[in-house]
Amino acid sequence: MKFEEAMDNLNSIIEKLENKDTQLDEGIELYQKGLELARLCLSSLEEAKGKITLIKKEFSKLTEEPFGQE
Amino acid sequence: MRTYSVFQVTSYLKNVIDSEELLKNIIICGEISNFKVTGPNAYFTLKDEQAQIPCVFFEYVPQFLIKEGDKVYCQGSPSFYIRGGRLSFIVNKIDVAGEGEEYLKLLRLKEKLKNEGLFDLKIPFPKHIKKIGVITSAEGAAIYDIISVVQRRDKSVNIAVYPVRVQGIGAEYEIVDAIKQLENYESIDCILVARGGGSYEDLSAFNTEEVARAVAMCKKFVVSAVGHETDYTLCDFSADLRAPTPSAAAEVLTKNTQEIVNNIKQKIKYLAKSLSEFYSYNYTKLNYSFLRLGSAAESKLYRIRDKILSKVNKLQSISFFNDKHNLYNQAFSRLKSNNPKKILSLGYAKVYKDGKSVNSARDVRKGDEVTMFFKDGKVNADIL
Repeated sequence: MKFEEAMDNLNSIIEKLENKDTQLDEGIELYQKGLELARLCLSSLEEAKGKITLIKKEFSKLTEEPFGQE
Repeated sequence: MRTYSVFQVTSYLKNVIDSEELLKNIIICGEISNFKVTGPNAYFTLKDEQAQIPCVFFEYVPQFLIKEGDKVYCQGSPSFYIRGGRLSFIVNKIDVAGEGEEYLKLLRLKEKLKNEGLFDLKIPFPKHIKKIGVITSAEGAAIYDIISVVQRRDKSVNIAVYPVRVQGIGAEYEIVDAIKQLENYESIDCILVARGGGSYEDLSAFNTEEVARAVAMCKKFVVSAVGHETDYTLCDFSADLRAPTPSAAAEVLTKNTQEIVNNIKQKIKYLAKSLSEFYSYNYTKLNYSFLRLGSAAESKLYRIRDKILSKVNKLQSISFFNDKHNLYNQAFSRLKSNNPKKILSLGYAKVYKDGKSVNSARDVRKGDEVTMFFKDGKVNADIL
């Protein structure tokens, strides 16, 4: 699941929990699901590592290599 | 021969000057004399060897120090001031002359590109930026500033550096080529054209028509961050967005993930709070039903209540939520916010009659004696 999708789902779970008409049995289930989604969002933010590359033009084609390796 | 009033002549002069197309939005080059700022406006005279013209700059915001004798380019239109009976040049922009003719040429080029509508070709800010293509020198400080800001704010964003020479003969062609290459390079979400500070000549590649056109026509979103905050180049004008410095550009192009992390942590707390409120709401509702119903239904209701209680117990065994101290704090702060003393501290008073709380104007009559409690004491009062 993508980060944006997980965030959307998390928000709708909170909304459901705020709604007093939600079925009793659903409460804990929603809470646990919400926690899972929140953890997923956090880990995808913390684990993501962007790359820094240097673009080179070889025979009018672009290639990338790690930046700062020359 | 006809006779006219002063007003008729001056009004006519104003009309003639205001409607003269050749005088609209022109640039006059001259030396500053008698520069004075009065209120929000600046007044001065522009001079050269043969002539002078009084100038007014309404709503003048100082951008640089203007001294007596400075050679400047003033942009604006002349107008005739009827009440004062004199002609003034109404200035809307002052530029200090750089390299004389060179600078004037640049202003003309800027005017030409502006009239062509080149500076109006703007692309909306991209929704998700996962990879930034940076066109700059691989050796300059700018690229390191950009990398450090991007990594501090959002570690997930990729940076692809397209190294170019940012000054010297032919630098503009390298920049144009880089823009054209990156424009068609799929994986890049936006382009950042950057260069650190330098002299007017150092930035000249970014003031060329070639670079201005390539940036304006680029199909991808282009941010221009050239020189210091006070430097404006043609590249800045034709870009979709101008950032004052390379670091500022990196900031604009990334989201602060720390803020998002805090927001998610806040949501986790909120989730627990909502669940606790959800069950306490149902629990209270049920207890109320106990009071209302007779013993016949009691045993059935007990079963439902036990079910909820077991949910609450289960809930407390879940990590994250098993923070009783936190629950206590929440309850305590809710209790505190409902403390009547807090309400009194806002300047309200509580009224009692015969030891009973008075909650309505109808509870008291003329002649009644009441006691009023304030935050810092009580007073007795008679109802008149």
